[in-house]
Amino acid sequence: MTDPIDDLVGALEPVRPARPGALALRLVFPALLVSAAGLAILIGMRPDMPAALALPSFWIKLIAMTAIAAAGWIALSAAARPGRSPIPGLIAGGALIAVLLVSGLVNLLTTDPGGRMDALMGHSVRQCLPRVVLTALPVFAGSLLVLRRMAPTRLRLAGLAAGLFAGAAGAAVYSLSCTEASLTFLAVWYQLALLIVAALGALAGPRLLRW
Amino acid sequence: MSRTEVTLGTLMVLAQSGDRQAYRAVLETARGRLIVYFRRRLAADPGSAEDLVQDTLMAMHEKRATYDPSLPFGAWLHGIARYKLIDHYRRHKRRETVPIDDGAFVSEAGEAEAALARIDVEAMLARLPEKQAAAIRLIHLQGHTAREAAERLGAGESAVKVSAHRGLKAAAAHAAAHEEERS
Repeated sequence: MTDPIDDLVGALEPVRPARPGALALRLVFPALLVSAAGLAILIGMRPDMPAALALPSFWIKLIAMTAIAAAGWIALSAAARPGRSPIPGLIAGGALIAVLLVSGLVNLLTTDPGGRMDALMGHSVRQCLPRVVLTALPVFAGSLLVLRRMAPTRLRLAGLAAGLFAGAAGAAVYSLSCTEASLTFLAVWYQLALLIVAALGALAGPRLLRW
Repeated sequence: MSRTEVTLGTLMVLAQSGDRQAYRAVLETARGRLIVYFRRRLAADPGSAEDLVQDTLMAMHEKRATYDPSLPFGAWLHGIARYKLIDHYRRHKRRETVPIDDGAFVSEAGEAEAALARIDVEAMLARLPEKQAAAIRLIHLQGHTAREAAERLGAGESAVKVSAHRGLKAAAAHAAAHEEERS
């Protein structure tokens, strides 16, 4: 019987060290562009576009979602390597979501009672959820490809991290098209949408990321 | 990071660049640890333990590009071994939980020396400029911190780190070129 170590040594080829960041440049960045282009073509960017850049609500939506996506990315790149834990990144993402939820609640309570329904429901609640999820899907697929090229060892958490990252990135892109200005709307509906994508990731992780 | 882990990590980086001697040393050390790891957890099923050792070595090979030198080698190997163990339980429909820190690996004293004895480190170092070789010897082989090494060499700490790093890179490049010539 031959020693399997001899076979493995014989089969050794030099490899370039695999880094999630470098893979993301090829797999996630194009997916983000696809999401943005799809959104612009199918639904259109917000009609008040150049002027909207002066609105605080525009930046709050974009920055809040980008921050959650950054935490999701930290979790994803840790989940991609054996021996590193996605948990700190996931906790950071969860903390950001909780802070935004509390801010949304405070905003709702400080709005006068007549305006509360508008602050919560906005004018596009029916479109918001499916559109954020659809915008997130290409990024989600790209993130799963990154993980498949790496070596995730805790598949449910890796899927959750990919979903959190993609959901928040999709929401950040969608915010370019959405004219809602209420903090409560952002805290509830955007976050519900990104949590749906995160849950999808946690469900699909063990199946799709196995190696 | 303990000295053993630093050495194994260095050997793994050389293996990534195609150094077969370094790779053999890493695999043999890994096999020793994996045998202990799986036998202890599958005491009633030595056949499966044996299979899992082979599976994990294969997985290590397949995923060797994902090793990151900022991580102890043992943590990387343990992550893969634990994954293979959970996968084994899943396939056999056994509902067992494996704690994330299931008593990692017992790293045995002298393991790194044994691994290093298999590769001709001195030959590798002899090819490098004296300054780089001295830095690698102090930091990676004798386990001194960069600061201690800097004091002994009478140089700045960052200069010593850079020397050691450049030396390892040069050694890896040499090993890769050598490997290409042979194949």
